Amino acid sequence: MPSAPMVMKKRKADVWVIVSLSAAALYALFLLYPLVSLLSKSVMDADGGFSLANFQRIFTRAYYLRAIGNSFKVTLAVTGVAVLLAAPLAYLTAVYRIKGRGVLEILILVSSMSAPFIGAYSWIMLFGRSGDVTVWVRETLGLSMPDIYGFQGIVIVMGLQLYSLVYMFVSGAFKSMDNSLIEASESLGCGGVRKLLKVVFPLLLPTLAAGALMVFMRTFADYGTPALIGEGYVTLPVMVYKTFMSETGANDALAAAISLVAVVTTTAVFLFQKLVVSRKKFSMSALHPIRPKPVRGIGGFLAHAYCYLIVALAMLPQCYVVYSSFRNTSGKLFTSGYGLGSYIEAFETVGRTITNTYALGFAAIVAIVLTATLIAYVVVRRPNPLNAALDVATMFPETVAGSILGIALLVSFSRRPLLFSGTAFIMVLCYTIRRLPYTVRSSSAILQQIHPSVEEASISLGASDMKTFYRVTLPMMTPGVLSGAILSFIMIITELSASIILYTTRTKTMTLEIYSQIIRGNDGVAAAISSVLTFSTIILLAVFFKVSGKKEIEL
Amino acid sequence: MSVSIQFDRVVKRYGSATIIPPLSLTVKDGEFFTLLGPSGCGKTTLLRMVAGFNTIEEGVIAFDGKPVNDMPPAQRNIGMVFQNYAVFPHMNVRRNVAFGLHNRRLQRDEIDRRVDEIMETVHITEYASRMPDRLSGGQQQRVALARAIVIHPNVLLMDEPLSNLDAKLRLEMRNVIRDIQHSLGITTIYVTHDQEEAMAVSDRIAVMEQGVIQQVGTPKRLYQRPVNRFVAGFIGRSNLLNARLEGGSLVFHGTRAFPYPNALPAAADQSVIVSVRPEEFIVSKDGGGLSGKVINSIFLGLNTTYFVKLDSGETVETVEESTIDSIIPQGTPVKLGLKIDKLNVFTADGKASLTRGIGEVAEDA
Repeated sequence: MPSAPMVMKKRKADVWVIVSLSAAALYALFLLYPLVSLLSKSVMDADGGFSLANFQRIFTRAYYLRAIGNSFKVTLAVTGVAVLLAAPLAYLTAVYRIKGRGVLEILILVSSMSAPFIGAYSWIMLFGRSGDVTVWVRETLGLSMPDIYGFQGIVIVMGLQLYSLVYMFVSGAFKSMDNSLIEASESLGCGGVRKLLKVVFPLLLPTLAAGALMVFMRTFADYGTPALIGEGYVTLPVMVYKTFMSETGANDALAAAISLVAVVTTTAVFLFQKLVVSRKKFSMSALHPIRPKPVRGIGGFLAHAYCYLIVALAMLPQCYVVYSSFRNTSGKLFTSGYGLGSYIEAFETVGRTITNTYALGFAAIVAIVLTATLIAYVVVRRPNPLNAALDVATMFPETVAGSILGIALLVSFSRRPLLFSGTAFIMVLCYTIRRLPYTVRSSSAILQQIHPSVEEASISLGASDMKTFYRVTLPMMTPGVLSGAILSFIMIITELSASIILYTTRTKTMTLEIYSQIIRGNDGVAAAISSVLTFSTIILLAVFFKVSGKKEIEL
Repeated sequence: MSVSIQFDRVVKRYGSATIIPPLSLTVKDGEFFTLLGPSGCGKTTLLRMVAGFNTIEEGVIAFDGKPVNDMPPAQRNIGMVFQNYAVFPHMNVRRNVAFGLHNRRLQRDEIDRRVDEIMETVHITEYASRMPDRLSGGQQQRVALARAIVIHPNVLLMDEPLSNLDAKLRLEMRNVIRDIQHSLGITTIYVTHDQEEAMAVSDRIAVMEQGVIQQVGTPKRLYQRPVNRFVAGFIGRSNLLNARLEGGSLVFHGTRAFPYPNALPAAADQSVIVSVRPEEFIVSKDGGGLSGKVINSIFLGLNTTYFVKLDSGETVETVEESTIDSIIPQGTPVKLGLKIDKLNVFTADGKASLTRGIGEVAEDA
């Protein structure tokens, strides 16, 4: 028997410490360094000295202040519209048996996954100055349609697209709400509207807030929609892009300063959500989920009408684009009759962008899966300050608009030895950083359901930490990892705002091609590529449901 | 090859909180040793320190005298059975059982032979190609057991292995575990909060509370000569009566003195707690002893339990073998005789025993 008690060392640093440190190093290089570069660029004058002139300019000139104000106005309006559309929809489908609910949910999901600027484009084709509906109303009814451009256009397009996110959040919350909570409320004499206000709404509030935050972030960061339908209504991302890419007087330093203002704003909102709202979060699990009741009569008609109308309106742009893609064209104009002309032209002239999209997306997704699984593991299984910081670093890019991350990467990696600008690598890098959060989240979620004792069993049977991870943990995580990866992939192939900063002719993707075809007025080709994108999304979603065995998506 | 395990002034701390203050213990080679205690008493923590999943802040844990503190769990050659079985859900039964052998890079036919043999032993051969989600809890537990012992571990560690099973399976599986442990002779540390289960399977038991081992001994000794009030209450059922020890006799509230020859010779006159197990009362209508009234009775077949309110106001539980006669009705005055040689007497704070035969043999041979 060993005689003297001695103070023993803690167990030796395991391989996961190396994983954490490597991930931290990568984040330092590819996220922290670009953000710091952005900061230093923004406070530098032409001679390289320190100067706050850029910020002074932003906060004193009406042009910049107006853009900031516009961004807030439009973001709040879109968030409000999305919540007001989605909350009743989620409530109706949860409580009443709405016919065709399965189809509705798939359509909602598809519209949530599409690129918003395609919706803007479609609305312009329908209701714009020379839109089909506008022209028809003018010529047959002699009336003029209200203006679709500017503030209201952005709100309609974004609101009708992003309500789907709120819907998915809230209907998820309804599914985890136990019916006995509602019955308990009724048995205690609190029914009807009071029940909705006192019990149902408070239970949904954290979820509603989370959904609203997501809408806020997406709207605030979106470039394509305000660029297309906003016309004179300039928002922050549009201004950043104009300032950075302007051919007459590109001003990197000023663009960096505007970017920083946007990053600080979104980070503040994000932190507010983290600190205030998520503290009020509670977990629910439904032993007896709410069973939708059949509904008849006038109430039933109205409930159905509401659900169908919202979803139809949201799907309208997608359907119209697909429809347009099959119309015959002559030059840039649509003519009568239908055919595959636009597709043939698209494949012949810009087929390269389709392969680019998939190649870049695939490269990014491989990088995402490799890093996300490891990061999820250390965050969930090795809680310590470093890994908590990693978790925050992983989630942070969600709050940074794509175009801003693009600019940050560009100003950081355009000099030797880190000369990546114009390469496919910098695009893959940007996609990876931006879309990592989905896969990390889905991987952590499934990891939390795997009891650590399974890993301990493997280790106790003589397997090393890494062998245990790859032989035992990872196979069990597969469904979560894959479903997150598919979502990440869809987000990547539909992304525009970062790509538009980073691309070159060799790395042009489908969304970029659609955008430039729209700008050129080449509607047939734009519609054809958009449709290819939409079909890709639908197929990927089908694969997602097959892989995950789920019936809905949790974001 | 099985080992003995030494714990020498082992300490577990989380941050500044000490979960286990210095603890020393020896588990003998081939012994079935149980850590028993209420939840949160540190028994699982201690087990996981042996496994290597928890760090050891101070002191030494050694296998056959060789410290293992710095040895990673994968190299300790332990077999571990978990409360939730931890069967790998993505591998069938055979691959689960063979997992540890593959890690040891054994020959294929050697692996097959040993897997077949152990599956035969724990009666899971017929499920060899099944996936775990198609096994019942009991079958999964057999797989977990087979997987842990097929590697011929130095020591078998079991963390509440039966607590997820229903009552009937629990009885069946504890016999399976006991028999297999006996036939293989692997040193086993078993954690449970179920004192009956601990008594049924163990060679020796350590009763733990708040990280401290209260008593180590055979099930029989723990039951008959508990070292303090906690052990008396935790192992089996005990009635605790206030009394005074006066001149070698026990004086209960307003009764005559009961001579208590088992009192420690050095014990001064003092207030004490007398621990009386239900079967250590003799219920009679007109015999001697403490007087009281029957306030309730439960007929359990073999035995009948009576709840008796004593004249002192204390309520006690007694067990009598059921008789063919009628049960004593409620409200009947009765006398409770005492089986003096079985009683245990503790100091008023319950921390120490005043009964002979405990201090001399701290650990049974």
